[in-house]
Amino acid sequence: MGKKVVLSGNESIARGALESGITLATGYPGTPSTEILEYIAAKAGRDVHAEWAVNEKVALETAVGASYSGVRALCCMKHVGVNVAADPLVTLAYTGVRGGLVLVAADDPGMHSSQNEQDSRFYAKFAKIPLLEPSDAGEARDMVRDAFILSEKTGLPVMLRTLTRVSHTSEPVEFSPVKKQKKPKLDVNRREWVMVPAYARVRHKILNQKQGKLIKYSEESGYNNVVKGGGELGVIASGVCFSYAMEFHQGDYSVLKIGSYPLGEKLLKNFLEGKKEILVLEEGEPFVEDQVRCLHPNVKGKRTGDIPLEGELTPEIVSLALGRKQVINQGSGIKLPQRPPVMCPGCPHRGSFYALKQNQPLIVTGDIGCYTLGVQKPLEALDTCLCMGASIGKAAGMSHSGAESVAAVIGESTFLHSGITSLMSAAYNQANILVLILDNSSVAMTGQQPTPATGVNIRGERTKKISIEEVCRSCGVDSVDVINPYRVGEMKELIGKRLGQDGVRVIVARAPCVMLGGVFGGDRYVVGDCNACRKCLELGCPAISFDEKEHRAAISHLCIGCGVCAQICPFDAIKKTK
Amino acid sequence: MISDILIVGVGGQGIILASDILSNAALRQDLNVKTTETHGMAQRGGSVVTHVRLSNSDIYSPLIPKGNVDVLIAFEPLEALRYLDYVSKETFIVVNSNPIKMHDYPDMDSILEELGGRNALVVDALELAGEAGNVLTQNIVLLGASSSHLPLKREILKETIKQMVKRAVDENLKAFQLGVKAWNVP
Ligand code: SF4
Ligand code: SF4
Repeated sequence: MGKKVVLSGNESIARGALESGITLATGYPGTPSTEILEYIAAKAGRDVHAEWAVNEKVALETAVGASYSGVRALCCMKHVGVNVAADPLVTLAYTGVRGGLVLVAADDPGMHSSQNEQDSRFYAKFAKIPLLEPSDAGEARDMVRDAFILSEKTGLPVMLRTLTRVSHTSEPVEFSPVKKQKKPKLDVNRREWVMVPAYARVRHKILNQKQGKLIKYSEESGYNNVVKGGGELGVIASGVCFSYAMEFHQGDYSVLKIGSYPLGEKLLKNFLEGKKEILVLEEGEPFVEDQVRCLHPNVKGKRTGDIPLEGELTPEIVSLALGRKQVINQGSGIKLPQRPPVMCPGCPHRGSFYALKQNQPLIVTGDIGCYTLGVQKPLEALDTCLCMGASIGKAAGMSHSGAESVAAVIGESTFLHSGITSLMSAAYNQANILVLILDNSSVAMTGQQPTPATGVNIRGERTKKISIEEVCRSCGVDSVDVINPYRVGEMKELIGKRLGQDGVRVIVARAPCVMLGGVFGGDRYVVGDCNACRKCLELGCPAISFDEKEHRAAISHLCIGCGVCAQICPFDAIKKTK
Repeated sequence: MISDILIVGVGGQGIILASDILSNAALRQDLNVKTTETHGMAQRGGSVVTHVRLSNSDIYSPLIPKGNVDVLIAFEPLEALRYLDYVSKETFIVVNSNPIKMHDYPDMDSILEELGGRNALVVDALELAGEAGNVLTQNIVLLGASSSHLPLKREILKETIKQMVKRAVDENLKAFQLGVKAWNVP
């Protein structure tokens, strides 16, 4: 027996990939997928190339290069990352793969840390590739190993769909030995790899011919199986929902566990036979349910309202749908205020937002990162957030539609991910916008991963450092300024000046994320002779509160001493202390 | 036998380390364990919750069904109230008395009153962690204080703490011990 270690679903996926003898692992950070690559970078030997790609499309293309070279490659991203990688993904099913290629798509039902709840299973169906969906961490490891084998057997990329509740659930997982890596071998075949129409037509047919086999493999996989029970109810449960179905299992219903797609009719029909009623449990859209609905007259699920269409499933939802007795507990009698996430005390974005707001731009288009939290009161600093990199395009569109004084706010990692092309387009098409690039030297929201602008790779080693200023200049913008966002007064003045000018103006506000540590040398601030004007509260720093009893502002031990509040206090009441 | 532990608090308070210690201690003691955590956005000072399930038989759902919690460990008093629908009359509750305030924070007396009729132990983890020599060990103080109601041996918990905390091992062990003794304080 191998040694047992407590692993999260993500670590377990990583372990499965290492045990499969991967040569390359790539991806872009995004909750709930981030820890997969971090684990690989920390645990793999030098013979595994691990990297943060600049975005998910590049990540998948890099993995394709490895696969064409005959070696195994893992590619990881959150669900919305697959949108970015969709272009290569769909045609990759035509060209096929050589070395096994597994694409991990981490869905986030309930949107714990995402902008939508899209269901990645549709991508697998859309691209006509096999999909595996683990129900827990241990199974995730096994599935990754089988996914590599399946990928090579079918010549197709295989998608592994994980969920927040699988990726971030830990349990003991037993280690198996690590397989030897494959020897690289570049066997060029233009008819397979060059998707011009004449060759692509042939490859499309080949892809279609593979489909029957995919169903057969899926049925033989051992991941779709039945837990027998009495009664006339049949429960079909995919992924983590299997664990909810089993939590309440007392032998009074049978469970068909789904872990491998595409689903064949034979499997479903065998299970449905003789059952009076079917309940389908799945995270995301009614994907399995719609297929089952064609085969059985009495199906309960998301379409019937027995299971909600939005959000994440819980044991309570499942037990209710199963008709189990509900435990109703009294919650708190007090009205509890919400505690949404906020930018950290001392976060450099706070100064940037404050200075921007003081200049009252007509609109601030936002982007994805910690700074999106600036939408909340009291800052209310941005007005839109759509997808990675969208701030600049939206701002340009508004400018071309007649709006003046438009500002876009984007983090440096998001800018490198997918803001560069929009900046170039805005400059080329002569938009009049201000682009504020918040450069905190990391992908902060997902845990301070390095970016090309950090000059450090995933293993923490020095590498080339990309200059944001130079990139912007090359895109043809009209001006580039770099400023320290903790100097609120200077920042406010500069934004005021640039916001009034024509053309595309870039301001890079540069200061490291405070979670990278040790920026302010341990000083803290205290409120002295407070006039109760509440100006400092406009920053929304979690360390500052207003003591109604004493009728004065107060700074708690959460203060890390950035000094921004002291700069904006009109009465000079906030002072530094040791 | 299944033992369900809910750990609640505010992002950044060290809850994930606490649940990692529990799950690794469970492995040492040959128990099955599942823990499920909040990562990502909520870690930026939002309300966070970790479910820990320990058992000598199979564990299915990673989420504890409401009403089933055996031990609630609250790193912050208001957050204890937020999850009261998970507890029952029998639930043992350990609460850190130090609030992390925000707008509209209810007054402490009403929070304590609400916990009053229950099997709750209120611990000043900040003070005990300070006494242990490091205010960052509040999470370990709270583990110590709840240990009497966990199916894990204290010696195993201490061994696991030694293995898992990277810095200030002695302070962490002392924090655990001070938490254990918090029991005896009236
Ligand atoms: S993690 Fe960094 S960037 Fe994010 S809120 Fe905190 S200080 Fe700001
Ligand atoms: S100096 Fe002021 S703004 Fe900065 S962290 Fe402390 S209280 Fe917050």
